[in-house]
Amino acid sequence: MPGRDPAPDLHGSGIVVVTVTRRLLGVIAMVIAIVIVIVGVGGVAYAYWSAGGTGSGAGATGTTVPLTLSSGTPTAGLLPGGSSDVVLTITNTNTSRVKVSSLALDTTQGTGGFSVDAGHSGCALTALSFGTQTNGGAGWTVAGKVGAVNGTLTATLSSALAMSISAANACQGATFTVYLVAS
Amino acid sequence: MTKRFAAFCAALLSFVVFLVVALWGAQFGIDGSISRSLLPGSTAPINIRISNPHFYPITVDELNVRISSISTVHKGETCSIDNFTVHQAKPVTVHLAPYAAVSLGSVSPSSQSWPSVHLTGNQAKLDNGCQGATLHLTYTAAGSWWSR
Repeated sequence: MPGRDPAPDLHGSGIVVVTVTRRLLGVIAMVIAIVIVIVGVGGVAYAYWSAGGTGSGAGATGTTVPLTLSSGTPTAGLLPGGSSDVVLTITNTNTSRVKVSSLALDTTQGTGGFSVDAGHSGCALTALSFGTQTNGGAGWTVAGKVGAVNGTLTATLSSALAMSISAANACQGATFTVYLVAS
Repeated sequence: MTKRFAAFCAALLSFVVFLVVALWGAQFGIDGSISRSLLPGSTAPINIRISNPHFYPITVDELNVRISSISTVHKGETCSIDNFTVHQAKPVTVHLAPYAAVSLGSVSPSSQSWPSVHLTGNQAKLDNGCQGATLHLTYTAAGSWWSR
């Protein structure tokens, strides 16, 4: 029939090829149309396509060199049942400020964190006690090292050291050292 | 006819490849790490490097850096992302030739225009667990490539 494709002859490969060719022409025309649209846009200007990138990396924070604490020294004579302020110096060799949240008795040093001068070895150190200090919860901030000068802070721990009312007479005139640890 | 058909298939395949590359293939790489250890109150820049693995040039902008996670070394202590502030890079456009890699340092020598990470110096806010911590960073960027 005019205007229509010949009926495919499954036994004649020549007619089948004609049918496929027409379908191919249709597909080709469609592809060409798409390309023309794309290239047409690019013909006015460059056709931009989005691009994306992802990646990963790492970083690290530094660690601080431990602070140095001087031994604590009572500022006043202790009496049985009384207490005394303790003064110590905190030294910071880091270049950044360091915060000390608390100062506690370092029981790994001395005798339970205390020592007494050699002339008063008969003074039982169990008569002493030290309460953990936090500076009212604010802690202490020790300035960082500047140039060759380490940061230092002198802390006064109010009424931190106490002596039991049962302290022995052997403790009279004794000099005590208090070992502290910062955290 | 067989040759024509083969030619058509080749053309169609090329076009499909072109589309795939255009729509999904234009991915590029980003890497780089913080240049030095962070201490409280300090800031460290990141000299990010962007690489183009493709045979066509690309242009990259809209670089973004974020901290994806933090690993701590002190058991039982935490280090919140809130301790850190990420400063994004100043707007920069990086042009990459095919198969080329470019670092921000070669585009903007001043590290002040690079992205950076700041560790807070606010002692009241700073987590102690941030000492010796490792920051894991994620980079993203957008860009474009062109064809006639």
